[in-house]
Amino acid sequence: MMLLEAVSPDFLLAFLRGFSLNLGASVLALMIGLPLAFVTALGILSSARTVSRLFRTYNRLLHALPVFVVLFFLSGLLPNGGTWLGPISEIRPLVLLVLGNIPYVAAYGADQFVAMFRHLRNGDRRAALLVIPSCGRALQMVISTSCLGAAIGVPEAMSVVIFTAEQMADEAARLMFFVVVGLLFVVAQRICVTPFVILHRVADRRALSAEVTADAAR
Amino acid sequence: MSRLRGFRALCMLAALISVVAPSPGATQTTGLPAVEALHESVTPRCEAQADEPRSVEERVVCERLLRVGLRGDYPRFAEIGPIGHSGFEADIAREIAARLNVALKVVPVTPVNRISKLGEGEVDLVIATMGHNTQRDPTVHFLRPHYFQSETILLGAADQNPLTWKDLETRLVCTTVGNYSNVILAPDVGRLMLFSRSQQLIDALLNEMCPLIAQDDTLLLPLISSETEPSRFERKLGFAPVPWGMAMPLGISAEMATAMSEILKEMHRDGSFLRLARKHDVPVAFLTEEQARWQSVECRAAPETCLSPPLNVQLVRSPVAGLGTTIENALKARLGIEVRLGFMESDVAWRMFLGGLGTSMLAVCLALISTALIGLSIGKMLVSPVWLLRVLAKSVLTIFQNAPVMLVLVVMGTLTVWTFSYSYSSAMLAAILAIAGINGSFAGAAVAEAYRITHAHEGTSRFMRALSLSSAQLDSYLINAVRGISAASVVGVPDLVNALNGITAFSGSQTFYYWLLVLFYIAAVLFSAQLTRRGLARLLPKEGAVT
Repeated sequence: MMLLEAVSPDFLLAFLRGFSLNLGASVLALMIGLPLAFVTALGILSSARTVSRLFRTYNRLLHALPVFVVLFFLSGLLPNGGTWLGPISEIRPLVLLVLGNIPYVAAYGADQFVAMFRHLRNGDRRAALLVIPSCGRALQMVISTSCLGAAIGVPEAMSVVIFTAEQMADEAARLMFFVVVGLLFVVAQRICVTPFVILHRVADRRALSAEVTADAAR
Repeated sequence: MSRLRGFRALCMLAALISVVAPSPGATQTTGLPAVEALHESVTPRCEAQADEPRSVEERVVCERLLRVGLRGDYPRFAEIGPIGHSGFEADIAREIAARLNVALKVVPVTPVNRISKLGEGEVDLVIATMGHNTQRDPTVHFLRPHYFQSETILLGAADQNPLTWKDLETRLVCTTVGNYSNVILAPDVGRLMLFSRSQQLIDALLNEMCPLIAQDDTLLLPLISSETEPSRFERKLGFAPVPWGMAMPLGISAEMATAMSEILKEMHRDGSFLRLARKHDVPVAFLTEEQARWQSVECRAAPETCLSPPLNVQLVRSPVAGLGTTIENALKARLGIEVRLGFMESDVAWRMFLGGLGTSMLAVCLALISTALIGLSIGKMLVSPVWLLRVLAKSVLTIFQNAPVMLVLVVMGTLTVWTFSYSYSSAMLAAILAIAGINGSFAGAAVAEAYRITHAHEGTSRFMRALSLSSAQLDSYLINAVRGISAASVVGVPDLVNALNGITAFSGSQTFYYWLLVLFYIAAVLFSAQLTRRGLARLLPKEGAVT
């Protein structure tokens, strides 16, 4: 199979179908993980020392969990065709990716929220708003790590890429194919992060004008 | 109601046919001396023991009925159709009944109950895709010679290049958990992906999720031989042959055992097995060899020397097997926890575990050192006054920061194979370059950002102060590299993930191994965190450090 044959409309369609799974799982992981992170951050900043220490330890453990090992663990624990997932077994690949990435989102998000609360306490609203691009970066990171799903049989974008690449006998063509795929990923990820960038710019502008108004009033 | 009655009538008719009808083409009598001897020795006892419990041979000869346990769900071997059982094994059952000069009654069995039905006296003979191995051999009376031999085959797309066993060390192979053949496969394969059922495995091949699957050839026959169109898949490799044996209950008489064995030998000699195999389109290589063997002068003269032994599935015990049992018992007695430390039981599992553990620890150390070196280099290049070095560093940064981890791993894997040809060292190099490259790039960028906002101060260079300022980020990227290196198995590094996955493939206990894996990486990350924090605190100047 040559490069042009590999990057066919069929491949692009399959890639997009796979990427929609990466994106859907990443958004869901953020939607579930960030509220958990918020609670963890509140716990870490709690004035009760025991509570704070407990949440800190919990967060450290979450940080120590490698996403790949968690995905691997879950794929064994929730086997294909198993009964554990009940009615949602149809969407097992999505469930695996979401559950596998939640520990990372919860740990990373907790750090960002702790920083946000500290900045708010110091009255630095603009610095606190940096939590928005951090969430964007988290989305980017989760999309990237969700590609590890290919190693556990999840039919996401990277598994489409690997399968197509395996049918290419020529190593040079395969490397060129990976370059093209890399570009596809970069474009797709940039598009996904753009809303966060725009939101941050709008919020930052408002915070800045509020600061200017407050300074002027003083 | 009338439909129900009609269905019942049909079932009764089918049952009647399966009990009394001789099979088409089956030999009625063969006049084998051993069969005649069986009838002669048992028949006189039939009248006398009419009311007493009968032995297997008395039941068969006196009632003139052979009850055979057959599966009904194995394509080409034993399937249930509108007129009863059909397939290779069903026809063998008919042939044997005819040669014994008795009627046949088919009793449906499954892989789970086929041995217990023999023990409970519900069937006299089981012909149910049963491999004859040393584990099963003591539980029933296996009849020899064997009537078939299956093997595990690797099945892949027909349009791909041929495969050698050596090629497997770079490949992903999908298989089902618990196969004996996984003991042979697991140590030599780049990566195993495990499934719990054969059908899921076949689906994964059809859905293009698995490029290669390993399974018993008889299960994969429909995928590789099609009468109507050329198959998409082909047999790439075969290994771990398993002889299939018919079984009778333990304690059958010598006359019965001899009669059955003679029938099987005769069926090999006269080509009956071959004829039935060809009729149902099942592989004939083994049966062709067996026919030649049983027709030979040597085997006619000394048949006992020509009988194949059962497959030896007893794994060599590991040197720590006893310790494993002691720990298992202690955990059960003291904490009530039942675990099976399969990785300590057999020598092959223990060696895989130790190898995986060592490789993972080496990978963690190499990832830490490489990330630190790459981070420092990229940081230095990003703040270099030489324009070319800055551009080069920025290009590396763009690639590593935007491409998914998996893609970077696969690209690095391809590049190292291209440069050095595949070996475990080149796989390790690929994994380290990928993981350390990604995290080192982020660390280098953090150093460069810190460099821009700091200055040389009291004998400390600007770069050292930048390192000190970015020490928190450096620390976190070093830890991230330790976490990330767990994905090294993707490019075929025989690390703990790969080893435990391989051990799971033949010894089960998946959940326990996954917990072991999680605990190992948590310990590795926490230990590395302590190490890097202390190391950075000792190496870097204190002033300006971010805590």
